[in-house]
Amino acid sequence: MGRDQTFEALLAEHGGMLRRIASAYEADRERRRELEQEILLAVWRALPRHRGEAPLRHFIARVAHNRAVTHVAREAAEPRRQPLDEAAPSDAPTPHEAAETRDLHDRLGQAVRALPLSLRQPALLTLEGFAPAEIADLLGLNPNVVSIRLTRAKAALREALNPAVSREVRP
Amino acid sequence: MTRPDDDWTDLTQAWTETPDPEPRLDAGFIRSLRRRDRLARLNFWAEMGGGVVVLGVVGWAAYRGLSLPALATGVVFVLFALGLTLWSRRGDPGLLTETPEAVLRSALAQARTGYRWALSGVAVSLAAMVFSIVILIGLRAPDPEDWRLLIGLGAFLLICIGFYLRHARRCRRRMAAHQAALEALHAEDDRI
Repeated sequence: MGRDQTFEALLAEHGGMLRRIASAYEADRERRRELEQEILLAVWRALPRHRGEAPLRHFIARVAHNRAVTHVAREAAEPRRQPLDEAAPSDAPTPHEAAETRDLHDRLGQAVRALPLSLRQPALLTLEGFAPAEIADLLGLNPNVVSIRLTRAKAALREALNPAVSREVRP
Repeated sequence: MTRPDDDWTDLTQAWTETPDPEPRLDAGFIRSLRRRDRLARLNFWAEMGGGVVVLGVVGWAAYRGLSLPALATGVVFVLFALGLTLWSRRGDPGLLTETPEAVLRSALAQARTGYRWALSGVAVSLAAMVFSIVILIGLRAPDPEDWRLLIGLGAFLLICIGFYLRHARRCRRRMAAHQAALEALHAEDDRI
């Protein structure tokens, strides 16, 4: 299979994950599209280097994540003209705003983006179904550090999604 | 057994359920990816190739009887430009497939490379000004056409310097931002 076909197959299978990774780092719709393109370009360039040591999903998640983290730094270096309110609702069209799934998805996206970078990375990978050991490998961290960060991230997400319940269960 | 605090099932489900699937990428996207990839590589080789071509022109002019001072100035200028092109790209990290920290360090190195490239651009532009002054008015009595050429070239090089300085400022901002992101990555480590 040629590079183009491999890439098309990869997009069909993992395109959703790549878009979600982009959405965790950028709330603005237009900039998110740009980040998606940048991630896809990075994956395209990195693809010939995949030798099969790690599963392809693992490999492209690493590339995407790494590209996204530099996006955060670049955005900090070149601030947008209008400051972005992370708590503001997405400007994506929402034909079914009342739907519970949509609402939870939006709030979860905002909560993930609001996490500090060091918590966002392991949380995002967990949400994408990666195991803590894989996350430790992807991020080059000690598994214990990953575990601690995940606990904090989960608490932060729980607080953001359901602050009242979170306060009740807190000792 | 999974402890309740470690159970991400509900969140994972909510995260991966995409309410409004984005449209598929159009057929031309892969072509545009390939083009951008090629352009990035081409940029470096164009600069190197351009230097070699100019060196060839200088050699040809020497063969045709170019004076020694003009020849020396030309050779020094081209070698200077080629040297700076190579120097500005040392430490280029290439593809990014390591850990986020490694990537940020690479990005920091890239920003430094960009900064060096911009500074070298300023240096090359200044050298080009000196070169053209030496060639056009230093080695013989200039005529009005030479002055017009020199003014045009000077204006062009000044614009180039302006662009290079702007790029250098951007790179410095990026360097600071990458440094801040690196610190943010380690912020949690300080609390552990």
